[in-house]
Amino acid sequence: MIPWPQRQTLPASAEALRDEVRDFLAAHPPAPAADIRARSWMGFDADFSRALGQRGWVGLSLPREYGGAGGSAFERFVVLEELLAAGAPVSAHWIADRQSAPLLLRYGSESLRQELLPRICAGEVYFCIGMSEPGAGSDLASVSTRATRNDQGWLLNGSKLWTTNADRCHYMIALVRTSGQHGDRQQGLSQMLVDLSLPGITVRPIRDLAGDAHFNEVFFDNVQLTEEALIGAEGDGWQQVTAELAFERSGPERIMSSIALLECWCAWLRRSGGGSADRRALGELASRLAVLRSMSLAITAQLEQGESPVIPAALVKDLGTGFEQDIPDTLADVIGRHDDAFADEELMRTLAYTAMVCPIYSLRGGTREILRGLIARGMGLR
Amino acid sequence: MSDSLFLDSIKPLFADISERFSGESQFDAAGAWSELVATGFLRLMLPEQDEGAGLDVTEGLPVLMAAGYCALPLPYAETALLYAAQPTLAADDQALAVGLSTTAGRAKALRQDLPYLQALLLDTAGGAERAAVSDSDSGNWTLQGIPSPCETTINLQLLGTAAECLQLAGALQRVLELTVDYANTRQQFGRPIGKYQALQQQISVMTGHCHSAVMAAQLAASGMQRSDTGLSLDHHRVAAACGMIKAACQPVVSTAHAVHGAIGVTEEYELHHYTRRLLAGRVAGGSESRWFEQVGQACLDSDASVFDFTLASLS
Repeated sequence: MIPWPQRQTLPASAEALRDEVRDFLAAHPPAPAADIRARSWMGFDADFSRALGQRGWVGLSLPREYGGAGGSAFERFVVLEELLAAGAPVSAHWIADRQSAPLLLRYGSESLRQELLPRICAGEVYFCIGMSEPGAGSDLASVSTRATRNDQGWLLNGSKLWTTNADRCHYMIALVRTSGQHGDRQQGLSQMLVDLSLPGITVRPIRDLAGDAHFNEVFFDNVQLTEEALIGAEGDGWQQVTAELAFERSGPERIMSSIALLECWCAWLRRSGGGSADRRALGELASRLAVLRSMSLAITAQLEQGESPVIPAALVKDLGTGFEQDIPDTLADVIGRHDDAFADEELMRTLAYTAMVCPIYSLRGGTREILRGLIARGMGLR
Repeated sequence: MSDSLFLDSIKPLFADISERFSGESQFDAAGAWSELVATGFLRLMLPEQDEGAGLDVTEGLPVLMAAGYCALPLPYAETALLYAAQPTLAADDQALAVGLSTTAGRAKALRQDLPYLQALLLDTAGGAERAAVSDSDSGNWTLQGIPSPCETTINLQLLGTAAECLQLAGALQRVLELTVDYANTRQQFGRPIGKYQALQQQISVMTGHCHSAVMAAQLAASGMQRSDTGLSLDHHRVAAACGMIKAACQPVVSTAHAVHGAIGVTEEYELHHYTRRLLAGRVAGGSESRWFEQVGQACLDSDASVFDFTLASLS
């Protein structure tokens, strides 16, 4: 069985950050149009990331010796949820802050930490994650991109797919095969730090159905990496990736992806008046938001205590992404009851955008069906 | 005494009373109530000056949920919360519940399956009243004498619904456990049915509903603050939490029965004690739509964003 969630309240020190973040956002306002803010953590703005880094809110929970603010997971929670609630463009530093920096702190060499972590915390250096490949999606252990040892370090060949922001990032942390064959599965995998400016790398953007190009395909043709590129131990890539994915599940970003639409609709309801079905929908969505946020905070408390609640985090991610996807579904139905809603172009653009992109909410970072298998095993079904 | 010690010391009695209720043709409800009174647990959330244990609702929550987990056929959680809301109600150790409007000398309790009750608390135009009752005929209780005014100002409908929902959260926990156990035990096609992905996916979704409900129960409890004079309800937080627990009932019942197959709908197997409670409890005091609509109205009436309303009023 998965342990039942235990409610936590935010410590006062974390709650106190809320007004500071709001002041910062007043000085660095996100886009006025809701359909732009609906890009949520896919909106890329390097100037914003640097300003946030100067404020100490990138790598907030990293140790001070590496440029972090030495803050708590609760403080980071408040900063993230405030940025997401406002629709701030956090994409540039997002992966570095959320996954790469904790990974480097845990498994990186001291010289790598000294070199990279302060620049991440400054909001200047951006990372992407090389996991999926053309033949390896949910079945991640079947990656075939290979790094082969040579006298200068490692020679990298292969390709990665669906790599968010590869065209705008400085580094990729890639899961690659360093020994064995395809059939060896989780054995023989390692994580490599790839400087995306190296010769032999081609990045091809892939346009999505909303017209944006955040995905990429990345090709490696005899890319020479140094010995230092290996992160952690050779052959431990699978265990490291599993630990890394626990950082990416269950945070506020797995609840808030459709918040711009929800707020835009609520503002419209206040202007135009709604009926019983609208009030019921609004009440249900707000109630779900409250419970999910409390569940996310409960996981944050476990992380803060040094635990690794991989399966409870998977459960919250499944619930959270379901909520994010139900928002455009529910709202399409209730908005469609009002003829005058069609005249509100911002609302309709935001609805159309969110409804079209929301399928990815339960794909990115591990599909819903894989997570549910994980949850079932956590419940003792084997 | 810590929360879990409270729970450990009362749960066996809850389970025992429940077993007697389902196993004996002549269940002595009044006798079982006397046993509960003797434990002192009805005064769990009364101040120490009223001979109570002084717990707040959050601390008492595991015990309140355990009543639902055990399908306790007595209004323990209802009574304990009403005593906490209005300590003078505890004076004579009576079994209480919140009731619905009266017609021709009769009234219903929000929870309709109760075999035993001594008085109902009723909301009337002139304020709250306490009505002694006897003899239930299919959930219709006969009023005894003239109802007396009750000095509480608490929203009885919401308190009664919350008492029901905290028990439902416990019942949801029990149904999840039974379902996982059964999926691991029952074999078909040569292996436990819990090995099949189709069932794993359904049970994962069910787990999500149950975990949400347990968190919602904690939010509801945190919205019921105790003071020297009784309880005050944080209306929207409690209403939102009740809506979430009620919304979990039907999908959990559906999956539990689907996984159990035919054995799940027999009188002999225990599942129906809990699923019956969940289906009735979802409606008792108002379904999720009633409470969600109130929350939605409150959000519209505020000037805040949905996110800020959620932080300020629901969390």
